[in-house]
Amino acid sequence: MKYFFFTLSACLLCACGESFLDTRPSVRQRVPQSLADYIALLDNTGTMSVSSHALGMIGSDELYLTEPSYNTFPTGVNHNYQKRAYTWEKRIFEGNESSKLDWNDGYKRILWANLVLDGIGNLSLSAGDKAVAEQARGIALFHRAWNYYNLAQLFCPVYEESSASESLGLPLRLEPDLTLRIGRSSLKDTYRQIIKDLEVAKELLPVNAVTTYRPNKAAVLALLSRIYLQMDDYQHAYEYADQCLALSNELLDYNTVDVNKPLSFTPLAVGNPEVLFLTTLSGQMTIYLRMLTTTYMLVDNDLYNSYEDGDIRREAYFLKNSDENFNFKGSYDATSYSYFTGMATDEVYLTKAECAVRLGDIPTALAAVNNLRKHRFLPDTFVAWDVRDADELLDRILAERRRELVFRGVRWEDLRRLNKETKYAKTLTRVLGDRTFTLEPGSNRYIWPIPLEAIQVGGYEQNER
Amino acid sequence: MKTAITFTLFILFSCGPVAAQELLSGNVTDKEGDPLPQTSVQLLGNGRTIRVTASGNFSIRRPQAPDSLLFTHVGYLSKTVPIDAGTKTLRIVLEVDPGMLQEVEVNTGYYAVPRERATGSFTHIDNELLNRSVSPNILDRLEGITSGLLFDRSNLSGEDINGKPRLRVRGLSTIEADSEPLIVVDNFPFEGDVNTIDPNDVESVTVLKDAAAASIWGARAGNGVIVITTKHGRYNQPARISFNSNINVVSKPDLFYSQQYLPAATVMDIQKELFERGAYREDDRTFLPGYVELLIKQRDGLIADNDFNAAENAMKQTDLRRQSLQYLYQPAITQQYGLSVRGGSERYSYSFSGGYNRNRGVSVGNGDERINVGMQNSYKALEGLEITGAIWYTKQSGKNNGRGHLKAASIYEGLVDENGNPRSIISRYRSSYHERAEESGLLDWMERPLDEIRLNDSRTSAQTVRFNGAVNYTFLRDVKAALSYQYLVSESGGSEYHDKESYYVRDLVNRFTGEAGNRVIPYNGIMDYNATSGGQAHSGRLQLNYSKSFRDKHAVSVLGGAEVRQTITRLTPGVTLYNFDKDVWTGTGQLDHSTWFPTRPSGSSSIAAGVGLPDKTTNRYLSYFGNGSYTFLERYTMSTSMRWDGSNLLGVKANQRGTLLWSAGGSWEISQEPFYRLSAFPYVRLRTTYGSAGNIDKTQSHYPTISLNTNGYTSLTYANLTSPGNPSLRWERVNTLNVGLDWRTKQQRVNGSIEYYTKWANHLLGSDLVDPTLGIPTSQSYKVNYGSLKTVGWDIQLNTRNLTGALSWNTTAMLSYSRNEITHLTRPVLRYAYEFVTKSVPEVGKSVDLLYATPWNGLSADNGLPVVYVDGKPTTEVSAYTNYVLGLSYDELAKVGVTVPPFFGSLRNNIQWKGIKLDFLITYNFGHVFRRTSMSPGDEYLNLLIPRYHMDYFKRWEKPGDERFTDVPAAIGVSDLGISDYYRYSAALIDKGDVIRLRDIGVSYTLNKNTFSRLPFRSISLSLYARNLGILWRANKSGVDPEFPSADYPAPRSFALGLQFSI
Repeated sequence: MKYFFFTLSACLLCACGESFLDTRPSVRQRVPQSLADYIALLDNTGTMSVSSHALGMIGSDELYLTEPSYNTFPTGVNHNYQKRAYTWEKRIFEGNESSKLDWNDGYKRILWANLVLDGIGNLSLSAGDKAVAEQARGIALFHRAWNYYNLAQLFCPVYEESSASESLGLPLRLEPDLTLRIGRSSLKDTYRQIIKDLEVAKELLPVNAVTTYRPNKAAVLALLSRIYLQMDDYQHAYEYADQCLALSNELLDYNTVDVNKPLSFTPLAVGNPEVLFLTTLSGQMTIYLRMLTTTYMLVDNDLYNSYEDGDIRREAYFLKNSDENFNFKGSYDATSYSYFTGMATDEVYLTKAECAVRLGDIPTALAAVNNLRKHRFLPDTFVAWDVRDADELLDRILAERRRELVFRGVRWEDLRRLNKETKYAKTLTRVLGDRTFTLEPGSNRYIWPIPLEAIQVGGYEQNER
Repeated sequence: MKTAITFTLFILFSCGPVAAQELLSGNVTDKEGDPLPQTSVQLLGNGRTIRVTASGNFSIRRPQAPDSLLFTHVGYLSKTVPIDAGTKTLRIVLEVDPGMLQEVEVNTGYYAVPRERATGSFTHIDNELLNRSVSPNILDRLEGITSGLLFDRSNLSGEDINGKPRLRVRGLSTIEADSEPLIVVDNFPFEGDVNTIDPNDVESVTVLKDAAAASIWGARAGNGVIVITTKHGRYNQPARISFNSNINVVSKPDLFYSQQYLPAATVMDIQKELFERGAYREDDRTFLPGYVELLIKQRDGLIADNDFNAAENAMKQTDLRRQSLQYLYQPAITQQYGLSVRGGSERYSYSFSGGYNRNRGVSVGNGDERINVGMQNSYKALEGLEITGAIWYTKQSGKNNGRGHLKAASIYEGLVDENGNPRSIISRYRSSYHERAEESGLLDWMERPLDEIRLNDSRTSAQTVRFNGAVNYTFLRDVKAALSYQYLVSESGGSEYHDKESYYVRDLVNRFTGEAGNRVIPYNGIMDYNATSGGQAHSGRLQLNYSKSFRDKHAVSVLGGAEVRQTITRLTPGVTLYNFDKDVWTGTGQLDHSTWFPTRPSGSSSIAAGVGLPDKTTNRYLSYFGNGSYTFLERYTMSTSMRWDGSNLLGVKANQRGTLLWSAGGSWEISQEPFYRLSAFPYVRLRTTYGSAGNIDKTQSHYPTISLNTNGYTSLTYANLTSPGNPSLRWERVNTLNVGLDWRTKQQRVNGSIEYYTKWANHLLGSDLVDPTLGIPTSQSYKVNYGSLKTVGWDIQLNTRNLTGALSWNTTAMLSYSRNEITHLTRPVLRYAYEFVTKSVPEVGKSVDLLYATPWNGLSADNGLPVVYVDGKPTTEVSAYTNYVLGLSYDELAKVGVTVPPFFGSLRNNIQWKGIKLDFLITYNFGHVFRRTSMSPGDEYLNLLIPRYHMDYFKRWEKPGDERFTDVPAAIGVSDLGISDYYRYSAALIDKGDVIRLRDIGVSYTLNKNTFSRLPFRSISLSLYARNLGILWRANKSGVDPEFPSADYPAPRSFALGLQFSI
């Protein structure tokens, strides 16, 4: 009160209003100015620990909807695109999809990463803070690469070395300046940027992170391995997988998992040694990604039937409904309606095995895949594979990969890259009553359309479908 | 009192040195006994004028010969009184001249100016006009009597018919920013809830409409300003006690008004069809409608045929709406009481008032109360020095336990079973899952809506204290310095108590009960204390006024000053107490809130610890202002004002914290010119103004801004990007031109005004369409200065005195017109024109309010489906509609009209005979359209739990020829998004909104002491008031009330009985 009167008279008499107006409006709000502020942006799990995998998940062969359930799917702009994506329509967006779109949210995380990279670069830091700042820079680079990679799997053609410089990549926004207009790069440049960021991050990130929400060094290596596998560069993929497992090779023994629980694993992947980097597909799926809720989505029957007896995954991953179909319950993050989409060691074992066999190293492949399987089977039913034929082993490893990485967002990427090999190419079908929809291998429907707002305002070239 | 004064004066005068000459003394008052010191008293014999004191007294020497005194006063009928040598005392009561315009001073909050001298555009609502309706909310009372002020209720949906309407003062001046006018109470912007103001305390309301009027309020005045002035005591006024009370009864809502339902038997047929198709997933986690559960039992042989038929028949006979009306609704009753004492002596004036409002809500279990106490004092401490102080206190409390109409359930469900016991009609999961709960060791898991009203107690409370103080000092005769200060402190919060038996508690306990039956949440009451918010606002102002007239030719009035304001809002988080015992208020807030527990039937969750995060917001404003006017020969007036506004915007460069706004205007009283000859119009005045006002959006910033928080799981601090920053941000600005003409005919039979205005709003902020690749999600309110808007309109007001004399009849007619057009927009053209149809998208050259529809070509005679043209050829293929709709071009869209009436106004008649007064108000809106609901083909198969039903189901095309009578397409047996969306937004469903309604009627009977001397009161009156009486005419044939196009029912009728008396 006294202060106020003082200010009042001061301002009225001396007109020194400038300092009076300097107060921050809200105590919680400020212009980011410290290293802690920038790290806080990266630690926002609600934004940074969600991944762009929805369209790939809806379009993959892991799930299906019955016709009545498809017909009763809610309408409205935020639901319609999911319905259209399910049958791989030419146009899926109608404009005004308000949120939780892979593209929009992916670029939101890229903006945040860019803000952090730009902001940290402009801070004057003490020697002690410099080390922390370098880690934060590593995390931001990882997030940027991780999001560009995920978006490339949805909105760009599959990587082929021969045509990558001509294929359309993503608009590469590397600065937070909103006034910059940046067009689509080539696919080659997109992958080059992703790998460049990760190569830097690899040197900056610690072996052990404070929380699995923050990427550690093994997570970078696992992601590099995934990217090189997608690029058919088996040598690099193998090396990074190997380096990753050298840092972190633990697997969860499913014999210790209580498969009778409504959701088999632990919430937020607590205590799960496999998880290197934790992200999920939208925690708010009941509102935005309804197609991926158990109310509508059922597990593909071929997938369910592909498990052998004694394979704990069948019970750990799936819940049998009264009407003889199956729901998924095996997310490594067992909070309601949440799909784990991050990096885990099980995938790295499978990548290592696949690359090893493709590079002709059958013993290493067998060791990797058998180690994984041993953690998935009841002890008395587990039989280690001893296959000497490379082709057969590759068949088996790929089948194992499908059984293991269920609803992790990886299946879509695998479908895309394996379609290049005639032997593994697969035609996907959807049946709704008497209507049948197909997605041919290599079809340009494997490249989703970019949201209309981006095309209209940003002027990017739309994907031909 | 006044006798005593007269007597004392008489003694004084008679004992004084002039006592030798005998004096005639007297006093002049109005009908209510208040002195009229401004009266001019003239002795007709010699033309000498006599001075009247502040208390209305005068005295002269008694005339030798018979003479007459002429009493004249502006606004009162003149009176001539004969006197002679024998006249000793006179008591003169002047009657109000009913035809004379009251000398009205308009108060802008900074200065008061006689309307005759104002150049700007004002609407002044006096006390009598305010009190003709009985709403406990002061703003509601302005409806229909304020020229140019539109109440748009098309935003109110569902049952929220009493929600806040959108107010538009003279159309729009912004596209996406807040379009609400600024509310000013007792000279300061009001930071509290306008509902806390007791209308009984309000003396008058002035609406400032143009730039000259509003620019003095600067950056927040772009949407107009509503200035509320409270009642004050007056100097030299005898104490007056007034009491008033009224009881208002609002009928139950008409649940049968909405067409968005289908009768029970039809709903059951549809559900049976769906059931037979296998549309219902039968798993524990999906709720199934009651009839489907019954069908499942029949299919599985779990119910005998007889029982099935009985149950099915019972369902067919049930209508949830009937039961809802019986059990969930009641007539709302509002009681208002007000008591006030006002008065003053020569140096001191006072006012005390108290009010009590009590409202029983229309939903059983809802209600609220409000108590107002106010006190105001003014004291003339020294010559030229006046000190005033006022304190106002308001306490509001409410309970919200009502349930409203349960639309989600199927219409064949009853709220009670055949024995009258409350029953469950909807549940989170499948009802059989809930029913099995008790077998598996859980608590009863059923929700019975009727029980819940009793088992939960949700309350809100709010208190506001407002303190005003001012020191006015007049010195050097013409200079007045005023220092004023206002302090407002408010606090609001609430609580929700859930009884042990409530569904809320049982559901929570059950969901957290572990596999082994172990309870995580104690089975007892739960008390949720909501976050409380406290606000403090300080406002101070120092102002210098100078006004002087020179030689009756020049009048100058200048003011200047500075104002500083600070508002602080604090948010204190709430707490949830588990294991709460209501009797002794014990409970615990300390459960394990960090562990994720598995929940039933699936998933996992942590226990909520309470809501809200502590926060503190400080807003500061600093302004400098000046205003001047100059009048020459009482007929030419010029005025100008200027104002700089600054605010502590976050993330803004220092030089962009403020904005400078100005206005200029002039008026010319043509009828004063020597050359003016039109005797039919003795008063004609032309005035015009031009100037700027602003609009501010504190959520936007130049630099990126973040807000901080703590993650409950990782314990790490995390940040949210609240704004990515926009370096080219500017303030919104509105420039307004106003031209007005005021005129009167002879004897004031007719008077009126006509005003024309144009508003140019520039640099308007909009969040429309940012490239999401930038990383700003479209849902985030990132705004850019993206458009300009032009609004043109006129306001006409006409007052007539149709009858004068014992039976008097006055009419006031108002008509306003306003249209807006977007003149500039930086938004690119949309890819799909269809987006214009589904949401409101601005377009250059069009009105902000324009409604688009898909073109309509009627139904096909072959299959009853709407005809659309694809590649120039008509088609009715079900599969064609999606592509047709997405392929529409902007030019093909039907531009069906605006959703906000461009023409609106009212007609008010006031008839008086002796003490009886009849007053009725007719309001009208013309020229707008609204979208009606209907039932698209296949809608019955969509959204199984909250289906889009409509009675148009029965108007569906069935056979060739029907297309001549109906626009409702035929059934298609499947759901199809394309055809559903095409029809839902088609031009066939657009109706005209034109409507004339009888808004209200008031009848009152007043008795005055002057007419009834034996009355123990000064006056007493009894009144009856009825509101929302009905629609006299509407353009649409569909029976929809165009005022509430998206609500479930229109505002029900209400009737009020009132009593006022004063002593």
